Amino acid sequence: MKQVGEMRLKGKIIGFEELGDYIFDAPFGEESPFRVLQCIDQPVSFIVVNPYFILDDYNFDIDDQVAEELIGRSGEPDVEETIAVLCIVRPDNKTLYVNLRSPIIVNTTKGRFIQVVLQNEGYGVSVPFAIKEK
Amino acid sequence: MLVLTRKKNEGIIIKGRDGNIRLFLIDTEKGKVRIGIEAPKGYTILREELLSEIEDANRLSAIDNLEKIKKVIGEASGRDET
Repeated sequence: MKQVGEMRLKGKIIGFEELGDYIFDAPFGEESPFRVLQCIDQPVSFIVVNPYFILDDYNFDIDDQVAEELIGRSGEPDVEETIAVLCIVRPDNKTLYVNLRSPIIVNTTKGRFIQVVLQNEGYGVSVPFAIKEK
Repeated sequence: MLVLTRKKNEGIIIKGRDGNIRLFLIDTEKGKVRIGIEAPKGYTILREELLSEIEDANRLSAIDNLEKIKKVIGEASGRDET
């Protein structure tokens, strides 16, 4: 999650398929678990969080198709490619909710992301959370 | 919408360029139907209500006023809760 800064990303958020170009930014600083995905064409932004600041053992498999779309033919990232996992945050009054069921997988090297849907029933769509002390 | 009647152990094939999607009626009982599904690579099989739930959550998460939200997140980042 280091050296994110501001970058352009292409990808689709479920329910917002008409939008595909975003700026990925770290307005809260590199050390913050939060990032912002801001649409270029419409006033639509999403707060996203690094889920490992919420759950230590958050993990899932991605299928070959997603890996190919994100990374390329081989499905194996190059050594220098950076893959990040982020979950969308929904602020409601003072409470923050996170969608652990459909994380966004970002290839920051290629500038692409995919929002996947996990089969794991244990991960909720709207889970209240607080950031853990590291 | 195409509507077909199927009995237990009967199937439906949706033929496509990438391969076939196969639906198979496994069992029915008291208003519930168990369906087996086989699909080629590249298809994600989801309960419809889960996808709706995710769409709704995403819509509710979309922010049009970023400045306001930055403040909320700033506070959350600074909080000492565990």
